[in-house]
Parts: sequence; structure tokens; C-alpha cells
Amino acid sequence: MAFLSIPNTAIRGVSACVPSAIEENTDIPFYSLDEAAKVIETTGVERKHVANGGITASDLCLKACECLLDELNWDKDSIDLICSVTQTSDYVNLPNVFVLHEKLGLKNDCMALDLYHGCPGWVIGLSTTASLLSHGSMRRALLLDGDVITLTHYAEDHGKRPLFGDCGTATALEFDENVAPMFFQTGTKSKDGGALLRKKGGLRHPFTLEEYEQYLMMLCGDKSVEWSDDLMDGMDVFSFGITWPPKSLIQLCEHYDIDLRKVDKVVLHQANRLMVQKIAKKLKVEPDRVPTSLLDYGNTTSASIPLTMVSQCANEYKTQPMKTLACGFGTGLSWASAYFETFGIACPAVVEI
Amino acid sequence: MQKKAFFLFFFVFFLGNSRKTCIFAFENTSIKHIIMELELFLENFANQFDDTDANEIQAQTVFKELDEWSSLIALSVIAMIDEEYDVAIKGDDIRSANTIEDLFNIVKSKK
Repeated sequence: MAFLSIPNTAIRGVSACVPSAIEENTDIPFYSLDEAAKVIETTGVERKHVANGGITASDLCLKACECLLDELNWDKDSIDLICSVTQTSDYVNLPNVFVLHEKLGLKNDCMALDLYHGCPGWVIGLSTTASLLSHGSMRRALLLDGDVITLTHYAEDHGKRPLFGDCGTATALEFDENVAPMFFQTGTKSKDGGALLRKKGGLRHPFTLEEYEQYLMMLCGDKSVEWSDDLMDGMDVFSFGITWPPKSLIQLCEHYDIDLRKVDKVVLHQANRLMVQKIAKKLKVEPDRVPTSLLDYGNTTSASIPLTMVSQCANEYKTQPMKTLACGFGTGLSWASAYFETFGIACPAVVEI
Repeated sequence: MQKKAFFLFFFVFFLGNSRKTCIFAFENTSIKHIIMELELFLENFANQFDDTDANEIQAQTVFKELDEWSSLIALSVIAMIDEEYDVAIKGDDIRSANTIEDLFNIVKSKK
């Protein structure tokens, strides 16, 4: 079983940044008001922050990170490890972590790691970063995670347009021998990976000239482009989401003797409202312990767990000891669950650019 | 002696007879059980709709032709099947089923 117990590592702070532009779901042109109301009810999403004007994932993560470093009063030279998680890189070649390392002005004596992942990305990044820190040679780490996923979606995509929003987050971690370990359980069901798949435009299936033209028009913001090779089997993803994540969280609790009743927050990937509610119900956890940021931010892919902590529970995370269970799931198909304890962390309000 | 034989005969007769009754009762309940299961499934299925009359939800209803059928209803059907039957059905199961009874049979085969 892919269980992991990581000692000696503490989360010191979490922050999030979203683009200031907002799209209301009632303003989406292909919906009547009735249809929009129905979609809002099921997805739980009323509006999303969407990147435009050239904002990239690294811009959002950078702003979130600067804000967090200010609050923590950390000297940039004290950062020994930086990890970036995104599926929407600034460049075709040059992983975002190097862009961020440069813009943050971090020292040369620093390890840089870039993870290409989907919605479980933050938890996967947390397990990787915490694991590297736990050895004790590197003392401080930054985990920068987020996407500008809406820039890659076709405007006429009825499944995605009402659901997704953009966000970048930063998580600060530090080596500390006096903290409780973090626990993880991860799993992979690649057999069903076709449920979230985009084939065209990669090296296996290069674009035809026609497809490339459509793709470029979409990237340039032409809203009329209808062609899409972006596959999302909503039914398969839903079925997966209500089955494996709750199973994984329950296994994690059993394996490490975590009392689910004593967990303060269960922060789930904000896939959509129906899915979040279903998982909470399966775990038999009351809704007030399962915060959601869907209403104002939508599904922000891998940023959704830290964004939910920051936007919905900042006060509690800042002032109280907190026991948190988290689960990211999706792309792969795969999932990653985590349990961690915090004791009053930096958690500045969501910032905008 | 005669009395004893009579009792023995009666006992064997009774045992044989009651077994027959038992088998008959068992077959009867299992058929009844399936009908009840299907009825309950139809009821659970109908509960996922807001504007569709429950009378329209029959075993032979081609559910994807219902006016109210949508991808969102499909998700609640998947959730209902997970909750009530502890079965995880996939998009392909919904796509391959034509009538509600087809879907019921898929759920049963996965139990």
C-alpha cells in the first residue's frame, strides 16, 4: 500500500492568489437563466476568477508566495527547496519552478523541483516536499501550486466553462523535530485515465494544420471556436470521485489510527458540489467540517485544497491548532490523501492581481 | 405398534410435504423479491427527477429520451446507485443501457 509517514516537517503557512477578473455563470452566453440556475445548483459554482491579460500560473503563484513570505518574515536566502506543481506552464521548455526561483530571487544553493500533475497535485507536492525536508539538511521549502486552466479551455465547452477557475497558491514548510508526522495515502487507477484526457497537440498526436489553427484561435481568446479535443467523461470521473477518495481517507485514518471525529477540517478537492457532498456523506462528516470554495472560485484544479483553507478557514488556521484531512483526486485517474496538524500558521487573505 | 407406524407415516408425510411447501415458498419469494427490487429501483430512479411524472418511469422507459434527462441527472443516478446498491457504475454503463430495466440489470450484475 502506498502509505507514507513523514516526520519532522511542519506547514508554516498557506496563501492563495486569483486573477481579479470574474466570470459570472449567469453571464455565460450559451445558458438561459433557467439552465444557468440548474448548473449553479449542481456544481455549486456561481462565479470564477479567470486569467486574462496575459496572467500565467507563475504570476499567480509568485504573488501568493510573496505575500506569504512577508507574513512569515522569512529571508529568501533561507529557502533551500522550491517545488512547483502545474499543468499550465509559462513556457514550452523551462519548467515553471525555474521561472519562480528567478523571480523570487532565491539563492543558487537551492533545490528546484517541478511536478506536472493534475488535481491531486497539491497533496502530491506536499508529500514530495515534506519528504525531502524531513531528512534535515534542507530546512525551509516553498511549494507553489496552481493553474490558469481556463486559458486552455474552449469557450464553447459546456462541461468546463461553468466549472473551472484559476488560482495560484503557496505553502511554506520547515524542518522541525518537535512536530507530529504528516501521513499520506496515494493511489493510481491509470486504467481509467481516458476519462480525463487531452490527446491532440502532444507528441503522440500532433495537431493537423486545421486543428492547430483552431487551437491558436482559442488561445488568443476567440470565443467562437467550437472544436475541442478536450475529453472529460464527467460520469466516469464522478463515479471514481465518490468511490476512491472516501475509501482512501478511511484507509488513511485506519492505518494511522486517526480519529475522524477529532479532525477539524476535511478539505476535499473542489471538483463540484455534488461530488464534495457525496464524499462528505460517505465519510459521515458534518458539512461544517467540510469547507468549500466552489461558490466564488469554482474548481481551481490542484489549487483548490489550499485555496479552500485560505478563503474559508483562514481565521481558524491562524489562531488554533488544527487537524486536517485533505484529499486531491482526478487526473490519472489518481488520488492523494493527507493528514497533517498545524499550530497557528500564516494564512493571509486571498490576494488578487 | 399400529399407532407408532401411523405416527411415523404421518411424520414422514408431514416432513416431505413441508419441504415441498418450503421450496415453493422460496421460489415464490425470490420472484417476488426481484419484482420488488425492480420496483424499488424504479422508485429510486424516479426520485432523481424534479419535473418528470413518476408514471413515466417504467421498466421499459428509454430513459435518455425523457425530456428532463441531462448529464446532471446522470450524475445523480450514479450517486443513487452508489448509495443504495454500493455499486460503482461508469459512463459506459449509462451509455450502453437503453431502458431503465437494462440499467437495473447492469447494477445487479455488478453486485
